[in-house]
Amino acid sequence: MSGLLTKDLSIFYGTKRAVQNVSLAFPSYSVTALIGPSGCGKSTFLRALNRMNDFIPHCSITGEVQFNGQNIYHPQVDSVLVRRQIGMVFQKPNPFPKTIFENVAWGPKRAGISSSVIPRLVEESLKAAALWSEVSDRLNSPALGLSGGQQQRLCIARAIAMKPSVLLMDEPCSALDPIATARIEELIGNLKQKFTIVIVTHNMQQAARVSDTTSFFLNGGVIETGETKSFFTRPEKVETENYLTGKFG
Amino acid sequence: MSSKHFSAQFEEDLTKLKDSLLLMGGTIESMLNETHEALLRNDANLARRVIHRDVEVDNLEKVVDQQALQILALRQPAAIDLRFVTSAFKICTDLERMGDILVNICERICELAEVEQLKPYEILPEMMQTVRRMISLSLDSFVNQSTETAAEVLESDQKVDQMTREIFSELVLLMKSHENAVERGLKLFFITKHLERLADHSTNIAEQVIFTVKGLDIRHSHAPGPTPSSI
Repeated sequence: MSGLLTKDLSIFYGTKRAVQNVSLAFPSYSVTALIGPSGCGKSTFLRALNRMNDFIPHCSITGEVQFNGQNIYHPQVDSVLVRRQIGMVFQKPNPFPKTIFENVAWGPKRAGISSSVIPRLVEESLKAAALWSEVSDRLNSPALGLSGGQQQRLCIARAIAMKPSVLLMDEPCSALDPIATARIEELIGNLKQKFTIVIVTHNMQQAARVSDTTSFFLNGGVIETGETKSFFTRPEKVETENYLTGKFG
Repeated sequence: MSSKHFSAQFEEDLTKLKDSLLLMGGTIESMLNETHEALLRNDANLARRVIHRDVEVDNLEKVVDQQALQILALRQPAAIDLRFVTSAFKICTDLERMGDILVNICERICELAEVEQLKPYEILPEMMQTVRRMISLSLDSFVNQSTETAAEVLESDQKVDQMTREIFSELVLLMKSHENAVERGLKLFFITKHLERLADHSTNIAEQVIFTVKGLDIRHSHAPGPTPSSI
């Protein structure tokens, strides 16, 4: 198991409980996919894993998110440092309106990393995100001039530049075409050698392709978690079976 | 598959696939019944009619393959639906092979009609009856998605194997003692072997039903693993 796990985690928007008593552990250097219907709480849960919900008014939690044995919601824990260790890639690519280089360098600069090592860090990050060969000759061009798929890989490079242990991905391919999606999926397969990855996706085939473990969320709770290769062919719970096969009744 | 899919079209596609397999199975059953009659009555004309019906099975094989392929391509099924569609491919192949085997049996019946019968059949009609029942049960288990019925088929296979051995022994004795029985004996030898293969194919179908319903792969389970009684 990795250093990341949740214990009886419930998440509330005001008084409404969006996630209830979820205890999940995320295996190291592997991909865990969170699937479930819209509104089941999977994205809310994902955002809680690096305290992104802190920005949402009236959002509160009970239970714990432990990272390397430490509850990240402990009052003495710095949420900025948490997000440095547990990075996130969002649904829509959101590069800064800056150059390609500055997009990747921005985080390390803010973290006080010496400017002498930043060019090498940018190159390493872009290479890890499988983007270097496409942009190495135009690092000073605007990031917004890249295609959607390239922008998303740039955002992954930006997250990697902070050298996190965990990467959270919230439907990272939902705005991309099939070719760009295939490249991101290929990239996820490579990234798991260095990072623990948790991905939320609506695309069940994508979950089946990229993940090692799959958790099915329904009505704020986890119905079933299992090894992906058997999860999609032989789920154990009726609710999972009905969701995977698109059934009702 | 008791609950319905949200997509009515998907539901319809799966129903059509199931119906095509049932039609294929029904055709095999009907061909087998006629083969049984042809053997008992030494009726070469009826046997030839069965041979001509094999094209129906061949055509249905192509229909089933196309329907299953379309579902895989368009619907990307998962869980029990995925198991059902992959089983459809395998069941379809088994049924097609059964059609070919019935043709082989009927060809031998046509040849037997030209050779004098030495003595009445004893075990062969019973074996034919057992195989008919196995095929019927395997198709029933598919229709009703019943693992209990499928388990009955698996248990019957041993009985067929035993009858095969008995007929072989009897034929060897007959051929040793009557020189003029060799030609006929060899043809009956082949028919017996073909019937035994039909039983094997119905066993395959039953195994696929168990895989579809429970996700258990019990093929080649002579080694430790689930047995018919534990399904």
